[in-house]
Amino acid sequence: MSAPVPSTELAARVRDGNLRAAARLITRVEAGEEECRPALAELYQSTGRAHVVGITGVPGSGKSTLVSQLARTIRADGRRVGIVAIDPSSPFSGGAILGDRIRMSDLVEDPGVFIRSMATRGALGGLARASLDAVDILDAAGLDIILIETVGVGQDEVDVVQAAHTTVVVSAPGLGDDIQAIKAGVLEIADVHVVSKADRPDAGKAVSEIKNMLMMSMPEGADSWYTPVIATSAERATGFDELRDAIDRHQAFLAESGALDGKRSQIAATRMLKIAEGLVREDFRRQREAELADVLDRVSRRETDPHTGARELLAALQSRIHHESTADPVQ
Amino acid sequence: MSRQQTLFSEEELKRIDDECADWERREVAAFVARAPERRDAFRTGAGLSVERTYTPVDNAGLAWSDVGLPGRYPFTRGPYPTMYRGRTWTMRQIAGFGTAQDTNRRFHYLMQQGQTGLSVDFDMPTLMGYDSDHEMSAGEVGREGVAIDTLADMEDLFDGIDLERISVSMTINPSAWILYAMYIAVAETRGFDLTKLSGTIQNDILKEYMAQKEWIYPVRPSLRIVRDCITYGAQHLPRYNPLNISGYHISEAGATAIQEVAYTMASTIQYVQEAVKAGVAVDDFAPRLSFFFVSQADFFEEIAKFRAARRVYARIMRERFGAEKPESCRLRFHAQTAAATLTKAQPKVNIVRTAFQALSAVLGGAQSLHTNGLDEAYAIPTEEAMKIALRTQQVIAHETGVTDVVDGIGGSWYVENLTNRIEEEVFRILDEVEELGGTIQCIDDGYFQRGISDSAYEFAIRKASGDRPVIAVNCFVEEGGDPEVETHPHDPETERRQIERLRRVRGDRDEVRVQQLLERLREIAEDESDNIMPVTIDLVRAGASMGDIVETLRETWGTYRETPVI
Repeated sequence: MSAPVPSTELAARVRDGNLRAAARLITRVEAGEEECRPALAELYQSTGRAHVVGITGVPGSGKSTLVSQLARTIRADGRRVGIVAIDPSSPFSGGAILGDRIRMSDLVEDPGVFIRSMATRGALGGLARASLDAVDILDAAGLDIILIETVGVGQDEVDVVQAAHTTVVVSAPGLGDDIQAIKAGVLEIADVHVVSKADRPDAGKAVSEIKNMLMMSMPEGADSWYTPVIATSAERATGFDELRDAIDRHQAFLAESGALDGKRSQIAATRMLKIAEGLVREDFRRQREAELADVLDRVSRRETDPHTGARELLAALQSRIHHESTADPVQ
Repeated sequence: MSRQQTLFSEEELKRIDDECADWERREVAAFVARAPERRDAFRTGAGLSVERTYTPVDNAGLAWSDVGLPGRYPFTRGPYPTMYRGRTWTMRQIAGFGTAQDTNRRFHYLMQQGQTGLSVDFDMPTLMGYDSDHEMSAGEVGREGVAIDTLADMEDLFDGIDLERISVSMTINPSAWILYAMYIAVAETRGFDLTKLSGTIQNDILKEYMAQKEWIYPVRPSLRIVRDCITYGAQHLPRYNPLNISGYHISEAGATAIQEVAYTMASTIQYVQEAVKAGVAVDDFAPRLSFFFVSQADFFEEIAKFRAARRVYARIMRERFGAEKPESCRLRFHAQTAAATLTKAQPKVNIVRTAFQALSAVLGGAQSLHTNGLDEAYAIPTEEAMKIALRTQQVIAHETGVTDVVDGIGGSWYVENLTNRIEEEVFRILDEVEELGGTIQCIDDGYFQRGISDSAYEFAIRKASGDRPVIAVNCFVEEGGDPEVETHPHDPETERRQIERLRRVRGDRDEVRVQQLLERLREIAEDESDNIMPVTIDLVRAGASMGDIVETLRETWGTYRETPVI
């Protein structure tokens, strides 16, 4: 067996638009292999061209069907699409019933579509980190639009959605109080609202409820973005052109209004902070277990309080960082 | 729909069309080249396209029988042949606050100022069927309207007012039949002839499910109450309107002019079906159906809306329900200017807005009119604000001369064209409602709610983005905040006084008799073929409170809950 191709070599192929190389690199990212870090760092310079769309909604809201229909609609214009699915229930993630897979087989076979599902549990270094690295790789590979499909329930998923340029929140009629399952704040971050399953008679009520909610806090001025509410029906194949147009309009709005720069720096800030948090957490989990155990012990015996305990841990970390930066840097 | 010969000959239309094309090529093209128009496309408040100007070509399909004469089918030009040349519309300023005595004083004031009809606004507990001492009522008693718990309150409300001579309108819905019963009881006690009573209870429960969302019981028993009011009225109160089918709230919730008329007519069809099913001939009750529309900001469109509503109603009643009496096909309506157009900023501008809205209601042929107070974006109106609002109507009635001619705007190429387009759109929506399973099914499925929020959302975006100018809000804004406005004071003692009064009535009544009657009410409620009105009249006479009656039926019928869908 030949030696594995170095990640820097894969990155070069990715830049040439090789999607198989992209797939292999994503696998390494997902496995948390340190070897690919420098390659990713270099690849990052080639990103920033793709429009990233986060699509979120509770299980059962019809996200996956929506994502595949939307991908087809975008493909019809000749644009290339990446799909990153981090929903355990998504058929892209392998949890599909056969019918779903068959319905999507045309997408799977289309060379202009790249589909990747991220392992939702146990992704080393955090799901959000791995997923957004995957988005970078697809961006560098020259895909025009990248759709990230997530369940809007966990913090990781919400972080991913917030790292998108355009956020699409999918609701379905008849899910009732399930809306409670969507993490607070997700409904509000939508740039585009979709009510799926519009062929159902009660879809109208869902559209009204969202519009009524939006009217309570409306931006002002001709330069503002007014969140469209779009009803789609996969069964009747309606609403998807409208959805694509809304996403395109939002992309144009970001560029023309100058909001894109702000969005980019906000995404960069969020990602950086999240990565830093992850590194600290990892540090404690892997290397400072003994210290953690000691403080934990005292906190659980009420000898010290959680707040003071946390400060103690951070102080220990800081002195270690200081020590390392003057001695031998790791990584 | 059989169309008679159109108003213009083919040759004449062809000649005009050619001239229009020539005009576009020459004058218009040259002018636009020098001074472009303000927008690429113009549209009405309801979103209908507005062309540069209108000619007979835009009314090519119009037949004389579509327009006709005032007081004659299809009543496009007005319900009566002489309209305001006989008597001007009823100037009916709504009033209600505090206790019945407080409101009674305001009524006397308004009548002294020349008001010709009364209109009662009730507080939230009364509207929702709660007694003033119910825990849900805390803080709301007498605040946004007058508090009515028992017949004693109703007697005070109309003290010193001749109910045979002035018509009284009551804005009340899920608990309307109880107020209706109280009104009848008061009139009888004071010796008035029921056949001479005129007035209106709103009682339009369907629009509550569509737009205003004030309901108590599920749809079916609620509709039965309305039916009972209609059938009771048909027998006993020939001049009283037991139902006032209302587009106003649908519009204020955000619907367009077209939706306002269409949804109102969808309700109308349902009510008529209910009454007919109960065995009352359509011509026996239809003449007492009355309507309530908003008079919105889009001047010409509103006039066209009122004209179209009359024509649509006439056709529905004759063609669908086989009404034979002209009165059954004759739509009469109360209009109110659009409260949602009033602004907190520069509130005096509201007087001007209201004046134009009132003028379109008059040109559209309203039977009665309420003009909003300039301070309604702040609180319920003060006496001064109501006086100016009333004077606005008086200026239109007595100084402008518009009352001297019937349908002075009829024959306007634009307004006739708009009238036609609104009528077409209304029938298109009614067909859709029919296809989707009818009015009740559409309420259950949220069809109307969706239509309203779609329009409301679009309009809110137009306003927020500045596409739709709102003087003092998104243009001609004044720095330095809103001026001081003298607002109507709320008397914190009202609640205590009202509760004391209610408890006194409860203490004085024959409790055994009240309980027997409530038991009887329960039995009647369970028998759909029976009429709930007579026992309700007995109950209010015996001193039963609104809450006693409402709660008893809640046990039998349950309550309506809107199902959350997302």
